[in-house]
Amino acid sequence: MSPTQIDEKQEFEQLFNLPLDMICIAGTDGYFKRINPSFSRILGYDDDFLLMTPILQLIHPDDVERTRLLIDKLNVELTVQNFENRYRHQDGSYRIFSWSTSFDPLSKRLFAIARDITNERHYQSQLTQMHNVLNKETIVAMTNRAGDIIEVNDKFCQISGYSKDELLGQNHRIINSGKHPKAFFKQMWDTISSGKTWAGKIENRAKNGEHYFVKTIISPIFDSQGNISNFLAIRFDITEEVRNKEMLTRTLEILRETGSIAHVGGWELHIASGVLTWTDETFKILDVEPSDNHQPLLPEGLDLFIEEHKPIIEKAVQRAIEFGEPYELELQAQTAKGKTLWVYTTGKANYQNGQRISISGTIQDINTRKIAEQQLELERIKSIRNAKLASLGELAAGVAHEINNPLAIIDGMSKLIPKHLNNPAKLNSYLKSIEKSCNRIARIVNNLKKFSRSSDTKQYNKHRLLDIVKESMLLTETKVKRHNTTIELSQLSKAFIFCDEIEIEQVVVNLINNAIDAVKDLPERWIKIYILQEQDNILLKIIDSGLGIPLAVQDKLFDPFFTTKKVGEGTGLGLSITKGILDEHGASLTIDRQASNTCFVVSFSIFRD
Amino acid sequence: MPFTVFYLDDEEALCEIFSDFFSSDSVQIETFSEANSLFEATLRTPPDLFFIDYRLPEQNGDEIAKALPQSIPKVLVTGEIRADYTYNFIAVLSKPYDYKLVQEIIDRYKPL
Repeated sequence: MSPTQIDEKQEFEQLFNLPLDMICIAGTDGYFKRINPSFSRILGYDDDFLLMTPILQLIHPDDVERTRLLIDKLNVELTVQNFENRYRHQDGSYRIFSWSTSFDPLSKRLFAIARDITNERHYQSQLTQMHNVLNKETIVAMTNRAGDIIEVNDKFCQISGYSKDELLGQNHRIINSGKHPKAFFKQMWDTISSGKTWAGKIENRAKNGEHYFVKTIISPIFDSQGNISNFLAIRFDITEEVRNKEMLTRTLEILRETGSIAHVGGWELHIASGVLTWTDETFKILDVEPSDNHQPLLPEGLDLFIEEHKPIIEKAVQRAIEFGEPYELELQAQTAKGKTLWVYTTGKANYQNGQRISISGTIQDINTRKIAEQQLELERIKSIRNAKLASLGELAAGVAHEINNPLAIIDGMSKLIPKHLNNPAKLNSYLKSIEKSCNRIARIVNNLKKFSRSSDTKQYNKHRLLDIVKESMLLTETKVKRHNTTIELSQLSKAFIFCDEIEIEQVVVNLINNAIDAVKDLPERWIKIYILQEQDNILLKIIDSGLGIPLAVQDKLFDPFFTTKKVGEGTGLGLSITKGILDEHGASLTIDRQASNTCFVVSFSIFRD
Repeated sequence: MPFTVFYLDDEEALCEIFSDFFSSDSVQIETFSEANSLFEATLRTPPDLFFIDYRLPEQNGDEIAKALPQSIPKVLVTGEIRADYTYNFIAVLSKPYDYKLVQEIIDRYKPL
């Protein structure tokens, strides 16, 4: 060989051995005849193994058939490019090769170059998957430099309400909601035009006019020259999130406003730190100036109650912290400005992982209500006292006759005694009459004594309703007689009730007095009283010969100062006080609308030891 | 014929006392504990003087006085602090009444 020939041969050797791509010559017997070093480098086997192993054994089983077909095809076409199949690496993994193969029919040899495209394929697949995910999960649009839409995905069509055909070629402004100022879009365009990515929240308008919110990322796409060719916009629908947030803000606003109107404040105590968090209204109620750099602590909060109530609130909070006991209290607060006012305050424990971490609750200004209640209570006590005095007056008038008669007997008989000193029978009869008259007076005075007890201090005890009714009948006896009315007590249950005897006596006296007043001008005048047991209740029915109460009057019957009596005959306080007393006893006062006569029914719970 | 006084009171002990006190040879006392028997007796033999209690079960003394013969003088007797009446009684006595005063009234109307 000439030197030139030698050089040429060396050059071909180098061309075969040096490239990173794999170069080989294979025979039609299915074995490699020659391989360059890239094979062993890429597949991990040594050259001997590769040359002694049938090629098809090195190929992924799924690719064998295709490879066979390729060889058949080469017989006809002689050259095939970009054929891909997988070869097993020594470690068991597979590498993807892209082949460019030629067949020489004369030598029956295959001449082939292969490139390992495993990594490329891998990246490509990742890219495809990413692309798919983006397309599936986000709203994607591509525009040209002018902002004209050149590509949109289904999600874009869905949210905007436009079809693909309606969108392509249109400027992106088609979905502009008009909610953003010009400066907003200018800043966006400036950013993306300078090659940077822009991200932000945009409010868009759909075809049907409804607005939707999207979190948007716009990225410029560069061509091979490094110039911006397109813009890619990826968006996420955050409409629900925005609406929820709007709703929450609005709800909080409403809460704040209603809290302010109802004078209800909120508070929370963080147990570990003792830090109190107050709502605006709480600050307002307690006259404390809200300050950014000062958060009230528990002792400060407790200090805002009057001395007398401090131990109560302290104990309630303590128990809420220690045992998780909720509380509801009506207390007097002493505000930061020294004002005393009634508040209703609640507290309950909040848990996190079973641990009490905070106590929260409300505070409500109930001063107006509380003071009104106290005044009403005073009025009520006063009214009861007045009503009592009124019935006492009535009693006194009736009592005069009841006392004067026996007094006249005592007086007359004692004057006659000297006349009959010799007549023991007569004497005896007179003395008996005198004694009887004395007892009559004593009984009346006894009743008066009881009636004059102050009702400001209540005495609840176990009493037989029947006894109370009998006493009440004694007290009204005079009036009954005066108005020539008959009164009858029947069906006597002997059940007990738990009550203030005097108050209930007053109730019964009042109802009997009303009954007398109701029938006094009627031709038929009677009152029937029944004491009946009905399951756990004992009913007192007071029926009079009147023909019921007109419906129009029934509703107003228990209102204070409502009366159908003539001027001067009644204050109209009686039934409202009666009802008030019964309410306090947990008893009810109703009118039996089924009855043909006027029938008031008082129902008490039976008291059992 | 003795001077006759009718006394009406539903309190029977007072009737007995009245009779015991004022009955004498010259004064005949008849007592009634209810109005009807008084009316019947009056129809039979009208008395010279009536003493009528105010507080009675059916009608009060005022109403009874108006129903009795107007010519006969009448005294109202009452235990009430304030009795409502319109009849022109010759006297109104409060219980317990002054027995001397009753005697004086009887004496005044009794012919000597």
